[in-house]
Amino acid sequence: MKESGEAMTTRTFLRTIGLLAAVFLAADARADSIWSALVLATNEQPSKPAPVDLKTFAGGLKTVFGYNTFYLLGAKQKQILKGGEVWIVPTKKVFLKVRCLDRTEVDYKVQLELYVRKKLVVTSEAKLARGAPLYIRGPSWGRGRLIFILEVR
Amino acid sequence: MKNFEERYTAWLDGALDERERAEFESTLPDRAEALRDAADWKKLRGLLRENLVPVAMPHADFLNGQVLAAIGRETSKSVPLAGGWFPAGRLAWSGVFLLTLAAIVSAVILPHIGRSSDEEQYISQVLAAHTGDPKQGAYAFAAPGGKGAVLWIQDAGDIPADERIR
Repeated sequence: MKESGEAMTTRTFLRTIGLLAAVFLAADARADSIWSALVLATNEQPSKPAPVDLKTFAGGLKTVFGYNTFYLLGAKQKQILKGGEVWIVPTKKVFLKVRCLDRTEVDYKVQLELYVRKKLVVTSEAKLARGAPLYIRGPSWGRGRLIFILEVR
Repeated sequence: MKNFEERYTAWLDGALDERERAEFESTLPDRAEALRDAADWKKLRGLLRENLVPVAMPHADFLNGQVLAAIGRETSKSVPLAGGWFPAGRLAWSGVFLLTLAAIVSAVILPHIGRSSDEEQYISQVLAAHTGDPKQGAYAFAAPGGKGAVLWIQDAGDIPADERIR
């Protein structure tokens, strides 16, 4: 049995409205991701080139922390939403918890908690802007130093 | 009761009977002049009947066809659209089109407007830092380049090299 033209038009109209709603929801739900990395910084002779993922940070790391060689121990990228909580590169010894407190058009306000051996070492609040990394000087490990890098992408 | 004009017209046409005609003529101020007028009228009417004959139209069917076709074209042009200028369907689709446009603009175009110039002003910064042990110090300063930030924990602890951290 054929549908009437009016019924088909109504169905097409409703589908279009549904598609538009999906587009609006998708645009609203779109969120940036936070890229995090745990880096071991050491001084070696001769120095070794930085891993590909750290190329853009190597200059800043050398200047700030005074090391010439960097190893990427772990990295991941997770979507960050307001109120969301993310454990950054959890390890057996070092934990960094990031909780998104607020979000604006230009940055995220986050609360950071750094645990070393399950002991809270520092609590901090920071604003993270897209493409502007935050470096956190962590505990020493052997002859090197653990450094966290957080960047909104 | 007929008025004078009606009785005069009937008198000219000879439509009055004897009694009416005599009665009407007795009311005329100048019967002789009226009779002359009547004679002139009969003469004029005769001339009109002789000369005003219908003229036969050459190719009348073709001309009628052309006229009907022109009427048909004009009629089709002037027929108004069903539902007038703003039928519900047209309004609905106009609304859908505008919503689509708004969705595209808000989802695709707006996020990129001004980003390149504003991004230069986007910086990360440490707003506050508290250490669990008062002996440990925590400092914050801008990273090289000015966009990034550094949270410097003076003594975050030591992990021996022989301990696995992962």
